[in-house]
Amino acid sequence: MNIKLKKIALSAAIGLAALTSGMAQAETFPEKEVTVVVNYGAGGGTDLSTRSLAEAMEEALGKPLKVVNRSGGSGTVGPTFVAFADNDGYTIGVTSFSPMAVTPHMQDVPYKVDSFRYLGGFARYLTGIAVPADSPYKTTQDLIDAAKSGANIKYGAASSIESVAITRLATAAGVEFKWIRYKSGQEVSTAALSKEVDVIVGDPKEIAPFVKTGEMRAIASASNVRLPGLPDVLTLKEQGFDVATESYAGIAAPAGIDEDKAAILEAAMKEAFKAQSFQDTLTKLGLEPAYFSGAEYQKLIEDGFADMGADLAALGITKK
Amino acid sequence: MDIVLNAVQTVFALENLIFLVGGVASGVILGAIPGLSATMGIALIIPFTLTLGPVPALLMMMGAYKGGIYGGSVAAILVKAPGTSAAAATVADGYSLAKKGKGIKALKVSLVASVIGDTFSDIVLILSAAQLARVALEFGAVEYTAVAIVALTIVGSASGKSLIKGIFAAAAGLSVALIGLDPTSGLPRLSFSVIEFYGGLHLLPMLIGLLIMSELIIQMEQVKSVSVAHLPNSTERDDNRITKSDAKLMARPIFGGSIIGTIIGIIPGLGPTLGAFLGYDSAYRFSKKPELFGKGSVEGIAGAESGNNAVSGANLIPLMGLGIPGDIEAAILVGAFLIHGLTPGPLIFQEAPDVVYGIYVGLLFANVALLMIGWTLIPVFVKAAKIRVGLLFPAVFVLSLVGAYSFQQSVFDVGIALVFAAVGYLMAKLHVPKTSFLIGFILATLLEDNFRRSLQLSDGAYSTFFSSSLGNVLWVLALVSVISAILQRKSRRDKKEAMMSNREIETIASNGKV
Repeated sequence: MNIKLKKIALSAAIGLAALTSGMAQAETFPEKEVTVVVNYGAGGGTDLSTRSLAEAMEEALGKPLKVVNRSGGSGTVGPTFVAFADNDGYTIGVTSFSPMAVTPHMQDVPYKVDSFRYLGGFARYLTGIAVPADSPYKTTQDLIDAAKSGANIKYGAASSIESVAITRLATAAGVEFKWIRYKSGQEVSTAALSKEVDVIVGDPKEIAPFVKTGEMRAIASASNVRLPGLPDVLTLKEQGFDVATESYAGIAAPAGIDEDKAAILEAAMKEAFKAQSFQDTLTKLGLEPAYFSGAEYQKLIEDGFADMGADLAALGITKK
Repeated sequence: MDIVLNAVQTVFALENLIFLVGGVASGVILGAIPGLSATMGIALIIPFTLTLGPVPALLMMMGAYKGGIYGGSVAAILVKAPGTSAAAATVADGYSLAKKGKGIKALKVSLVASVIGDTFSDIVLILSAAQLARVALEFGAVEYTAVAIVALTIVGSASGKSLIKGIFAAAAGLSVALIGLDPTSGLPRLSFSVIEFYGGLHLLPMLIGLLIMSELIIQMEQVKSVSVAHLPNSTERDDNRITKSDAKLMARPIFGGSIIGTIIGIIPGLGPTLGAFLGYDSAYRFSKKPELFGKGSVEGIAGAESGNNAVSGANLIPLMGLGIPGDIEAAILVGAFLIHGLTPGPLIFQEAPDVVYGIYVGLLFANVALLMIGWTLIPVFVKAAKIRVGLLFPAVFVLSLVGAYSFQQSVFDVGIALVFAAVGYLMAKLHVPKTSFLIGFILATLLEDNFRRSLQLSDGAYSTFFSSSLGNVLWVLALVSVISAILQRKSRRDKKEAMMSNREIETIASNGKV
């Protein structure tokens, strides 16, 4: 019953899109399989969540979606592939926040923010801050006080965006922390467990399980909202530091795509987002379901690109 | 006890059994095809497992992993083209045996060593995952730096005739691995603004060019000149089975390889290729017949193949005990756990003991399945390798290109494979050992990351490298390894010289000249 209703609602949405356009070409779109390019390898959070989204979109579009992985170059190879693909609507792909707004400040990439027609955002990556359970630093304030009194606080983080998250805190508090860079979130968790670093910044799914086992203490959410699985841990804002860092996952088609086709794809993604199976998958993967329309997502990327430029320059890791 | 019985029931439910056996079989076959690999097999299986329950999904993936590591040795032995990087250490001895008509013996040695290595590490996993996982925490940046150096010393025994060329090749491998993003700043390095270089060169396409395609070119040259066609097929019964004396020879390297592979598996980030090389190295060092190594040593195959398979069970130890994946394959498994609402780590023993025991029982059974499937497929593989060279070589060549491409659907990787085909050809002509190059390449990231991280953590003080007792033990191990390699080389040279001079005297005497 529910599914039927959804289908009716969707056909109505698609019908509306087709009506407003009135173009014959768009009425029958898509006529064949649509390829979805994932910018990270098979089996990771972005891959699995996109596969789940694609499955739900299949139902909405009535045509199969083929997910392919184009990983590499810190997630920039996928968007490159999409940017240069035919803009006939049959190739779309993941344009997550990091390769769109962060990496271009550090590497030359062959695409720009406006190389895409954004179809929408579907998830928010959250970021947490944690210390080893027996650390002398129990709170965010402890870390800042220690740094103020001359301690060399070292933090472990795998991505630039996580580093930006804690650097914003340090800057706001007028102190400096030292970044020890790791290759993956798992390496960062290990570094906390073996106490190689004083504090770590990472994905909640790399923190929450260890808080449960009593080996880590989460001291803050660096995002605008609290962390899944750690409802008692306050955000930095709630703790009185006016900083927050967020990152998002979304999909886009190459710029120049027929606007009617884009509208159909955007409507399908909006519909797919509501699917219970998709929402469940996201939660299991430690991602927060968050819907943004194409235009909203584009604004997130544009604003993020500008903000990140300044933050990364402060960290001294921009190109040239 | 109930939970174990339940687990047995789960695993032996017809559906689950089919997925498990199917995983092992597809792993063996994918691994045996030059150019396709175990990692790729698992990646191909993922979308398929999303709809399965957690136990069958994980068993299928782990079955494919185990099968793939053994399968890699098949093409290494029969075609001199390792199906996976973990089989690189098996090429020289396996193919030498096959050339003497003992291909079936070599395959059986490899299979038995693989299954024993697997079983050993699975048992260690089952008995002590929670305790041993803590060992991984003893390894910080300094210790990893020392491990990388210890592992680099195997270049000494992997270099064959010329140590200088071996060191040169290892240095070249280390240098090539520097291409990509700088691990400290994240900025691109040696990339010439080519976006594909940013991610660094991947092992698989390079391996395909260096070990498989270059070998095809060399063999094709020989086809023209001497018209070698098929590997001989011995009718001697002893050449097609593991004899009592073989079994005696295999026991020690398998034991050593299993222990070394298990240790490598427990320490996250090292992987089966290193397990194979270290297993091979230890077999060589303790062998009474080191002169046979590289020319068809049963001990060499046993050491390498038990070494790489033992990593597969043991790398689940940090995964189950701590929630930290040991290598790429284990990282893919994390995704499979998460999608089914499970978080790998110590809590899983309380939250989903049925899954844990299902996996344990399944792993043990997968080893039995591997033995049976592997044994049944041996004649099939031998027959497949016997098709006309005019068909076999082009087929392997095309598969290599497909493998290089399909790894990340990248034409650039095909280019990499072709470039390294040429590099490999030149190296073979100049007698520069390719394995040393590979060892250098594999260890470079581990070494550089941890060397630089150590210094970051110590604020630049080099004394940090001698600040941990585990680290110091590893340094001593590295030193011992270097000295013993030099002594072994020297004693072999002395022997050779002694033999040479004897022969010279004889020749001179027989010629009647003083």
